[in-house]
Amino acid sequence: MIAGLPLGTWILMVLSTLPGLVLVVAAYRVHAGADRGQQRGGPCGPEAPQAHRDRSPDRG
Amino acid sequence: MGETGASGAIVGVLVFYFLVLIGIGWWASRESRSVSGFYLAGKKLPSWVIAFSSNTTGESGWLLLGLTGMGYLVGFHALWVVLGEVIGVALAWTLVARPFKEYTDRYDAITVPDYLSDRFRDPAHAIRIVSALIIFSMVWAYTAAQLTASGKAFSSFLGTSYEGGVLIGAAVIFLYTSIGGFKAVAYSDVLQGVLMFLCLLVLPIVGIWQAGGWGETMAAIAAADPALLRPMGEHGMSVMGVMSAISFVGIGLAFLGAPQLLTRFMSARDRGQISEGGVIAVACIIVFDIGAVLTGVAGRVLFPGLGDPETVLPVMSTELFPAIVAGVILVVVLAAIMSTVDSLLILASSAVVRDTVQKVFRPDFSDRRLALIGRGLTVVIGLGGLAVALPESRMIFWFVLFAWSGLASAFTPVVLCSLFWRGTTRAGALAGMIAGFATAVLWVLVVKEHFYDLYEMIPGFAAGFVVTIVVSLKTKPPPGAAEEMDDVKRVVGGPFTRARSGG
Repeated sequence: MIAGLPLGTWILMVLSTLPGLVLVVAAYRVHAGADRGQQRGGPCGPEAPQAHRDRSPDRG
Repeated sequence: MGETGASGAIVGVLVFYFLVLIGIGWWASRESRSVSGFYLAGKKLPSWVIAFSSNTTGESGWLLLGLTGMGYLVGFHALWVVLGEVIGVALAWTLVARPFKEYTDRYDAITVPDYLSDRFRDPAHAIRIVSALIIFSMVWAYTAAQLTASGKAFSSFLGTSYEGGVLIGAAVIFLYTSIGGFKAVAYSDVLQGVLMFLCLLVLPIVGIWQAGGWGETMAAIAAADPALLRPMGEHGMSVMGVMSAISFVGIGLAFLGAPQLLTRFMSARDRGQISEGGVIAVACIIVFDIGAVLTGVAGRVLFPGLGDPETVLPVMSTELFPAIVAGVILVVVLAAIMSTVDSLLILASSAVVRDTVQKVFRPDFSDRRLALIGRGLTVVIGLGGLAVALPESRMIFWFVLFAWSGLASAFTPVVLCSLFWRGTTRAGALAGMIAGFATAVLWVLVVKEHFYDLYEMIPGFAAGFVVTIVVSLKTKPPPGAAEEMDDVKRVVGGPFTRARSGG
């Protein structure tokens, strides 16, 4: 028992919170710079989404 | 303060809150004059709005009444729900949101059936019609259950009649949703989300403090029933215990592809909002869920022997706080209910107006006319929910979980395949959608009680994936879909790899 709770419960509490936070922070660190480039329309930024619109065949 | 004074304080807080919501509806009404404006706020929303809106839409009155009740009933075993929801939200924002946003921007899609129909080149509109039918039926059930929760909340806090509570809640939701459309819904979700966040941060702290602190609370729980402290609960590592844990985790899977949540990603101003929104959404859902479980645990010590565990939050707030704070907490419960109902009404209205009227029957209708029909339909669909909720006060939260799983089982496997597997075909998507939905419904009606009470989302997802994949393998993917997927991946990058430059 640690602070009144079994070890397994603490492990479950950590598993319930940490991996999710790590995933989104990692994704943020990877993409935030490139996304800012896209918003500014910088040379390394990917194409603006609007450029692809209405490509699907069933749209006039 | 006397009982009348206490009720007066609660009513005062409530009236102020309703006026703020109606004000938001009026403020947002300028954006809602076109179909895209009414259903997606013109795709201009910032990260913090989509993050809060997504979480509060996913977390209905069930979070405040249902999950707190679960913490009361099963103790720390309810942490499995937290695990499923946090992982579900994190994966939705890291895996699904970016490619989904890119695809829907390319197609100029404003609904999930819009996206699926374009992704699978479905000129016969079969995907649209099946999607609209599923959304419509599930939203009806979901709305009815949430309005029931509104009636129960009013009667426990204010002593009004159940019917009066249902009617008051419904009137306010219909008003601001039909005036302000998606923008009003999203910004009111932020207000509602902040209230829920503060409530679930403060309530467990006060509850545990009132119970004598952390050590005393845990000791009291251990004395009441040591199984409440264990991760596998009363069943331990038995088949029943494992199935129960899997069922709890399964609740969170819906965050990966339920249409009412996917529309939040579509409404983002750009992809940058998604990177930021993910961090906000996960931090927020952790506080929501852990707070709800700990509130239930503290409530078990403070108020043992409650006849209905789902009343633990109202009981704690009226017994532990002064009337004005209890009024604020009633507002929070209503906020959780309203933030879900408003989003569902918009979703069902879009399924009819955009996916059926505009795309199938009357493409000649003007944008303004369609938005007007959308407003009217929001109220009509809500009235349908009202007709079920008014005479049926016994409808409980399993109904919410049922509608939650019906929507998610129909859409999540198909949406995931459509985003990540080039081989997915139109026939596969259609069959997978029907199979996922039908399995979830049949599981509840026929199998569930004979199979360890396993939550219907698990078989619903399994059937959705298997049928989508098997039928897709026997049919041909739409022309150009593989190249399109490669291009989307090139533009948005992977979950943890940057987009390739030179786009």
